[in-house]
Amino acid sequence: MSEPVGQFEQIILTAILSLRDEAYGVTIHEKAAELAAPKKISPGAVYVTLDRLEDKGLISSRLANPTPERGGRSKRYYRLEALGERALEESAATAKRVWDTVTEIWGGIATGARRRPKWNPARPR
Amino acid sequence: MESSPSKIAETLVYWLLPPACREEVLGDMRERNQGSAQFLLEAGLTVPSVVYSRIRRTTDTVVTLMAAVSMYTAFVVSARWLAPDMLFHGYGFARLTIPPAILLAAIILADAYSNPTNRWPLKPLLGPTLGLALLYALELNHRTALPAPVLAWGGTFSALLVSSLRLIFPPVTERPQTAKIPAFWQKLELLPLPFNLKSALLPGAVLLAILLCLLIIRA
Repeated sequence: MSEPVGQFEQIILTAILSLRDEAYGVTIHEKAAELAAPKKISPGAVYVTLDRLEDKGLISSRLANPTPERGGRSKRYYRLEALGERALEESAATAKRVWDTVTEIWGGIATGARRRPKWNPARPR
Repeated sequence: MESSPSKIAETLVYWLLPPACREEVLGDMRERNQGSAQFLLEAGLTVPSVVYSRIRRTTDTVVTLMAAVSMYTAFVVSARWLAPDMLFHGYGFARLTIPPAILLAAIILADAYSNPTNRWPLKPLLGPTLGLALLYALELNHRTALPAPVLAWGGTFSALLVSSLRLIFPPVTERPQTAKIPAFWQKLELLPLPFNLKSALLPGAVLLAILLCLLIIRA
């Protein structure tokens, strides 16, 4: 079994996976915000999580050449390592099992076929 | 049109960010920039997280605990020899925790703000030296400050002990790196078990009990 990852780490790993060779601070933050919507994500939280994932050996990083549009500063590009891919696979499989169980009990929530009845205290049991 | 942040704001953020992650974080902030006010607001939200993350990466919990205990012991021993009365009056033992806390904070921040590209053999001694300077600056003109001889001897012995400790166990960033090994595995090889608050409660309680017994006997 690989390193367990939390929900936010899962979002960051997914963002890096989907961005491929263009995964650096700004793009990862944008993609993560898109994945976590409507929740807001601060760039600081993204940097902390990227450091933690790198310490766990799930991702690796490299510093690229400086670019003029960033005031002559470099970008740090991130990529998923084999351990990270395995951790993401496992957490995605868990999420899928949870989703399957929920849809089995509540019915097709995503398709709108059957919704969970709202709780109404006035309604007789 | 893209506006660049003011020079002052950028310079301020440049000095607040640890050198190890300055390049990419400042570049990202510059890329996201929509004006000086937004730049400063983002800096306010980002810099504390980045500093915290750097502290987490550069601090070895076990060595930090060893340093804290050594420094506190040095101050207690100095006070016992030079001003034994202060130990049992006016929260003497509690007052003795302030100088080690200042020294420790300075060492932790010096490690977090050290530049990983600059390597020199005496670099681990920079933190304790800065800490000692900060300690004298903050403590000497303070109402609850320790007596000057205790501060001088305790501070000197603390700095010596911590410097020796840091030469034996260098800061995480100064340890030899092996190519192509993730930091996590490297840490597992080099470091003892991570610090767990629950496991520290029992020894802490025993120490506290011994300390209380000593105080009661003395009274």
